[in-house]
Order: sequence, then structure tokens, then C-alpha cells
Amino acid sequence: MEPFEDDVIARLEQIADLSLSATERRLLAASFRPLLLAANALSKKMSDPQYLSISPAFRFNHLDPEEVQT
Amino acid sequence: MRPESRSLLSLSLLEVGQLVANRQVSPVELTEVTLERIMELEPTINAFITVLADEALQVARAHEQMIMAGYFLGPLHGIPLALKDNLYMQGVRTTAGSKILADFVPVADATVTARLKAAGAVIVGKTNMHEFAWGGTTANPHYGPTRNPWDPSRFPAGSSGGSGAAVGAREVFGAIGTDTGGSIRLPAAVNGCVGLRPTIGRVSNHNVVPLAWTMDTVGPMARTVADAAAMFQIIAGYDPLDEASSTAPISDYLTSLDRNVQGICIGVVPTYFFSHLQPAVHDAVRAAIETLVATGAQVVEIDIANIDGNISAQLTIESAEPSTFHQRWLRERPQDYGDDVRILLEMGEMYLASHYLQAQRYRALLRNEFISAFNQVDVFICPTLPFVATPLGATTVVIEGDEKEDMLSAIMQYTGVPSLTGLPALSVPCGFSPDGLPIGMQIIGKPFAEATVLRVGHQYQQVTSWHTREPDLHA
Repeated sequence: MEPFEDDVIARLEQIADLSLSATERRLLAASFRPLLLAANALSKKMSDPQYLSISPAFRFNHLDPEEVQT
Repeated sequence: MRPESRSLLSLSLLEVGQLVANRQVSPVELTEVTLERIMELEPTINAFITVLADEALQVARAHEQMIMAGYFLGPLHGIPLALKDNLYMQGVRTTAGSKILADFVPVADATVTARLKAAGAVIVGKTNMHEFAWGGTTANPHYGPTRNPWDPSRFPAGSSGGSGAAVGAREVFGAIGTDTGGSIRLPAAVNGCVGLRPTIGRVSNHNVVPLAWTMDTVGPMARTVADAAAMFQIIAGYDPLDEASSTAPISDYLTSLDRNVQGICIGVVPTYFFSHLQPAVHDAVRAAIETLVATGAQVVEIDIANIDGNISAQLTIESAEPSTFHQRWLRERPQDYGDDVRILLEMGEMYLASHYLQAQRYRALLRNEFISAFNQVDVFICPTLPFVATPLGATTVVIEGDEKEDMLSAIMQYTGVPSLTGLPALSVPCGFSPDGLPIGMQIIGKPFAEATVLRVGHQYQQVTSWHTREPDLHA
């Protein structure tokens, strides 16, 4: 992935309906790129067929006692 | 401060609680010496956003009367404690370390607050924190930075930095913190105290200002593991007001402390948890493991095949969820956030939904690997963080060589694993650096096995004395 230009952040800004300063766009362009690279790498990993059966792990309602291994 | 007052403050919560139970010390006297200590140290430490002097003394007098009349509520009765300022306290401003909530006064307590009050605790104040808990330094732009009592030129970590510093400085006998990515454990480690992140859902999050809904927990911070267990006994358990809280039964955390660690199997993941540390941290945690082996535990080296994705997954989830909570304020009042938090919130809006969901799927993968590993071990032990307290205001840290690393990613390297997997994790003091800065080890357990992690930590403290050291703070 090439280093972000400010216009990449500007487009994301538009999608998210945010209003950023030029300084913030520059800061975000530098900060977000490595995180995005890592997130893309993790997404690629989790797309591997061996992990297809795994569903997201958010449980807003908790484990039942019988699910608990103590 | 009188010498006898200073000696009271050096006692543990359970020790001073016994004096209260025996009517050798009054809750009023305890609260007075606590408030005196807070007033003396706050110009240096800045651990509190709100000190409740008059209210605390009023409550202490009521508890004194109760105890004299023969009504004793338990080990927390009459004991001065503090709450992190993202826990609601009825009638008391709850700022979450922010300008946006600077004037917010809740009309009801958090469930944790209510349980502590019902147990007779005297809440002396609301502690400073990283703004909205979204950071690990407690460099708060609105209420000033909290400082580390062991070296006030250094940070107390965060986001529960005020609670950690208050306990470390002997301003209170215990405090409540919250932990999403490490925010109890990190300040516990660098302030030389104990901090417990419970199993996700073990303690109610009702009326706690959220950071990340699927990772937030509330837990105790105290001088000893036994103290933390006493506090945890009060706050743990199902809450009908928090539908995400667990109905799994709670244990007797205090009684189980005294079982020895003979036969306990400690898992170590050397390729991840011991591969990138400051030398003093490495040596202290390794020595702590050897100490436990000498008391009867065994060590097994474990490989967790997919542990390396945990930082990205944590940052993705811990970015997207807070950004969602803050969407309205970020658009209506962006100037009222500190610069660091505002940038993080803006960044959290830029991940794709697929990034978030893949991170949540990775979470299930990592959890399954740890649950499988618990067939071989009872607990994992690792450093709480790879470095000791950094200078105030630092945004980077050097762990090895001369390479500067981003603070946020570096600080959550080891605390992120229990946060993602929902496992309980306890930070326990296990040494000091050559500069006299505290080092903590992290004991990670199976789901709802807080009794086991507390027991291992307590047994370690029976044969070591790191937790008895106090910072040299002369007011």
C-alpha cells in the first residue's frame, strides 16, 4: 500500500460525515496507515478457508454457567 | 502528619478492617487520616478529580455509630476507598476525565458503587483517568496529569492512573478501576499495587461510562491480593440491570486464597510474552515464576499459534466501538476532546465493517486456542507490560536498543490478550527496576476462575515482600 495522500483521508472523512482540519487529515494519514495495513493483514488471515466456521466473538448476553470451564 | 496516622496508612485494607471490627480504630479517624494524606499529596500526585471530604466524614460518622451499635457489615465496613471517575455516583459529578461530562451529575449509582456503599465502604473521592478511558497514560488535558508516586516525573499508566496512583501512594486503602485493554492492570503494575481485570461479564458495567462494549470490565485495585479479593467479593456477581453480566455463581474468593500452589501448572508463552522486554522486566517476571516453582508449582511452555494478531484486533475493536459511542459528540463538540483522544475517535470511524468483524472472528480463534491450552495449564504468567514507567508526556517508548515505539501499541502488548479473550487477569507486584520503579506480572486464568488467579497471586505474596514497599513521599 502506498503512503496515504491527504485525499484518501478526505474521502473517508466524507463517507463518515466528519469535518476535519488539514492538520488532522495529515495526522490521520500518518497514524492510520500502519493500523490499516495490520487490519487488512488480519482480515486476509481470517478469510482463510480453515477459519470459515468461526463466527464473531461478541457476546452481549453472557456464557451460560454450563458453558464455563473452570 | 502524625507518625501514628502514617502507620495506619501503611496497613492493608484487611488489617485496618480488623482494627475497625475490633473497635480499635474508628471509621472517622481512618477517613480523617486518609483525607489528610490526600490533601498533602495531591499537589504532587493529582490522583483525584473530586475529593468528597465532607460527605465522606458524614458517612464515616454514620458507620461509626452503626459499628458501636453492634452492626458490622464486613471487611469493607468503614474503609476509605476511591472510585474511578467513570463510575456513576449518585449526586456526585462523574466526568469520565472529560470536559464534555464536566458537569454531569448522575441521579443513580453504578451497581458497583451501590454494592460498595452497601458493604459500608466510605467513598472519599473520584479518581483521575485518561479522558473517556481511551488511553494508557492518564495525561489528562482537562484535569492535569496524574503522577507516579514512585517517581513523580513519570506516568502512572492508565486509563485508571488516578486509582493506581492513589493506592500506590497510600492515599486510599483500595480503589475501583475499569479495564478495557489493560486500564486496571497497567496502572497496577507501574504504581506497585494489585489490579484485577475480571472475566468479561463477572462484574456489572451498569452505569459505567463505556469505552468498548464488548471489552469493558470493572475491577479492584489494592495494596495486596487479599485486599483485592475482599473488594472483588463485594462487587462480583450477576446484575439484572446489566444484561451482559453473567449468572455463573461467584466463589468464596477470600477462603480459597489460603490453598497452596502445590501442583498448579503455570503456562508460559516464551515466543510472545518474553521476546521483547526491558531487561529488568524480563528478569523480575522470570524470577517470580521461579519463586512459584519453589513453592510447588510447575511450568509448561505453551505455543499459542495465532497470538500475533492480537494487537491489531484489539486496536480495531477498541477503536470502532468507542468511535460509535462518541459519534454525536465528535461532530457537535470536537474541540472539547483532548487532541490524542479526538484523533483516535476519528480514526475509529475509518475502519471498514469487515475489519471489525474479522477482528471479532479472530477473537474467537484466539479464545479457543487459550481454552484448549487450559487443558494443560491452570494459569498463564507473563509481564503485565514490557517496560517500566516512562517520563510524563512521552508518546513513544524504548523497549530494546534505541528503537522508539508508539506508546499505545507497546503498552497493550500483553494486556490485550485477556481483553480479547475475556479471561480474568491479575497484575501483582514482582520487583523493581534498578531505578526503583515497580514491575508487575500478569496471572491469566480460565473463564470465571478468579479464585485461582487470586490464590496464585496471594501465595506469591506470602513468600515475597514487594507489595509491602512504599514510595518515599514526604509531604
